[in-house]
Amino acid sequence: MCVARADAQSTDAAQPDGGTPSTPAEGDGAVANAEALSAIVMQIEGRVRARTSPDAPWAPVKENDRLLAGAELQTGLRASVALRLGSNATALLDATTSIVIPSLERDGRVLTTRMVVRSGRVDVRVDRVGLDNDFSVLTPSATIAVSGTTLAILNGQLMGTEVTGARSNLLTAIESRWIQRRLAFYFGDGTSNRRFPDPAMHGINRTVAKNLLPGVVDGDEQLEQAWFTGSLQNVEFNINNLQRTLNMDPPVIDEELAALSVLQQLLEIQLRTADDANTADSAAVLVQAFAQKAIQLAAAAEAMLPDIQKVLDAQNAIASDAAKDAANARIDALLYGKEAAEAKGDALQALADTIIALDAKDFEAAQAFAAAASLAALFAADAALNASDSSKTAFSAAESAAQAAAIAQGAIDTYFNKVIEAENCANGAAAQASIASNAAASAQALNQLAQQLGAAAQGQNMGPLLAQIDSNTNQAIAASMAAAISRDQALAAASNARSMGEKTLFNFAAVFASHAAADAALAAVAANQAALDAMEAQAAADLANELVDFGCIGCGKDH
Amino acid sequence: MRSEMRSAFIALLTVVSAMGTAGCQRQILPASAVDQFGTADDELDFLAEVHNMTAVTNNDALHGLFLFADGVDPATDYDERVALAKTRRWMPTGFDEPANESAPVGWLAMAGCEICDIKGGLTMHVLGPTPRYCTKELVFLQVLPLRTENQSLTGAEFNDYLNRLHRVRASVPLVATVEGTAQGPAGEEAATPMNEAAEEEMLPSPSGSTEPKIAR
Repeated sequence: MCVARADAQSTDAAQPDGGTPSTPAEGDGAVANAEALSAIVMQIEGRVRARTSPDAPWAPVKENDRLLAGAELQTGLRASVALRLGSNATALLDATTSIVIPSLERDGRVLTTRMVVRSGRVDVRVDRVGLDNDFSVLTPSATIAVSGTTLAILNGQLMGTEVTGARSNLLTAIESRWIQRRLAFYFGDGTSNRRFPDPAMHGINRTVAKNLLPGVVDGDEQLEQAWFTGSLQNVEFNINNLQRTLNMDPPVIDEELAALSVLQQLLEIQLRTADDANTADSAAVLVQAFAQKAIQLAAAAEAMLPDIQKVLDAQNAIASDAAKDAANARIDALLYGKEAAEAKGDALQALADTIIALDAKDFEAAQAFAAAASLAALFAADAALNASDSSKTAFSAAESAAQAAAIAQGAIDTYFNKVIEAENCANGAAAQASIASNAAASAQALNQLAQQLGAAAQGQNMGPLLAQIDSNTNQAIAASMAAAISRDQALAAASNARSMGEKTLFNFAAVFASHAAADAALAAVAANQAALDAMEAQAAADLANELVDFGCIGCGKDH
Repeated sequence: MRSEMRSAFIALLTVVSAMGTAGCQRQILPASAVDQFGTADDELDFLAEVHNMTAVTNNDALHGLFLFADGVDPATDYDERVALAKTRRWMPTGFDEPANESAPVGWLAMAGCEICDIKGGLTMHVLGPTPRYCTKELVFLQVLPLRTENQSLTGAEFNDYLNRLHRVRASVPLVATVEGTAQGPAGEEAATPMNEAAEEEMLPSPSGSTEPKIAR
């Protein structure tokens, strides 16, 4: 490391008001063939913003953002940001720090980096990567040239520029964590196979190991074989390869990541389309089973129809006869009721005549009228009894009709229960067919994505993978179509069975039963009324006889 | 001759008195940056604005210190900031200066000592934080250059002061706050379990040496 105290005035003049300073490279005109590098944001805490030039607007910075030469960064009060500068340096900006990166490029074997620390603290580590490092940190009062070491530069208005030791372990920790996050791309989804039950090791095997072990093995199969036979047990992954990966220029890493990412995504798509195909196949099998059951149940229900129809006919006849009996009994009850009412009228008339005869002191006539009233009361009672019997008959008939209607309804229910079972099976078939359809749609979408990825990675041999994905997709589609056909058959069978039942099965016995119940009710009303009339007739007769007896006491006749 | 000498002496006394009176007056700025960038989201704009000011005002200094200490400024105006700062013992209880007047180093040092939990020496332990001794303590710790408690800081110096306070605060034992944000050095959560990175942090030494500490 070389710390050179430069002429403060000249440095200040190079960056008026903290503006972008000119760089030696620019002054030499050596940038013509230089390759521009970028700084990648490795870690961020708190509020950090950047702008591409002094005239550009500020914008918040996020992890993995890339900054080109000319960029300006500013951190807040409780903030920090770590940068990977080109291929050979790492910088950690502390809180309330402001820097500018005027130059960041590679010119042949020279990696040129200029960083202006306007204020705050920056920890820097410059690695030796096999190229020539031309790394300089500029402050208003000093220029520090770094050839390959770590240091921290502090610059502020209170104490000027200070140089101190960097937090190198912290820088290493940030670098390691960053590269671990990058390696997550390589490690894939952590699947495993028979030879590599450890998902992480499987991931290493499939992707990273051949990069980490150059020359030791070549190709997945060879690596698997070597690992399986134990010949790799003593080989440790060389951390220098990780370091080399870290030192690679970010675009190069991105290209490798992109290639691996396509492969990884296609592998993922292949697995998912295979899952979709299996799902669709399983669903199709279930749909077929459900459909078969639904069709069987519908057929069984239809086969029951003639027998059920016979039962319905028989019960209809029973209910019809019972309804007729109930109607006749109602008519009888009404007639007996009418007789009872007439007898009651006779009894009342006889009572009136008895009173008139007593007024006329015609005791014999009064006795005759009282006897007539008693006779009328007897008639009324007899009619009431008959009406009651008719009412009972009507109720009995109504019960018979209701029983027949219940039996008929039971037969109908048997049929429709079967139909409901068929419908449930058809619904199950429909649900499974929907699963198959979704799986097929998913496989199609994934296949489309795979084709796009494959088209983007034409240089790589993705053909077999794409063919497998296509095959999986076709399998899922075929299963889905088969499932749809079976589902339609099941739904049609269930629907037909229900329709046929609704057309042919009707519970006429229930209608007769309702009529019989109405007749029984009317008969009961008539019987009740007859009973009331009989009671009134009896009361009139009793009164007439009592009046006659009372009148005879006055007339001196013996009773 | 004597009367001439007396007149000259009176004139000189008047001039010296006038200079002394004028010298005691603090600079008053037309506005504070916090008036324009008062929210926590404007923190970076606020710092940039302060950086260009010829002196940091009382109002800006309080806002900046609240952002530094808590990440947010709980107060909405200058009076609230002053009242809150007094409850935190960031400034003397008798402080009653205008918002846009340049902030003296004294209470800025008091606030810095309180925020960074700097206990100081015997005098500070006995008398508690005072502008004079807090300033001396921060000068001793090389957070501040050699200044008195009545001097001012420019905006850029105030930003540097916050940066240096941040480094001092990073050296105290790390205690996680309620929000789970450690008040440690930048990127400390990525440090090794033994927190070697924090140990490597080179603090301003009392001897004034600025020799770099070689990490390995």
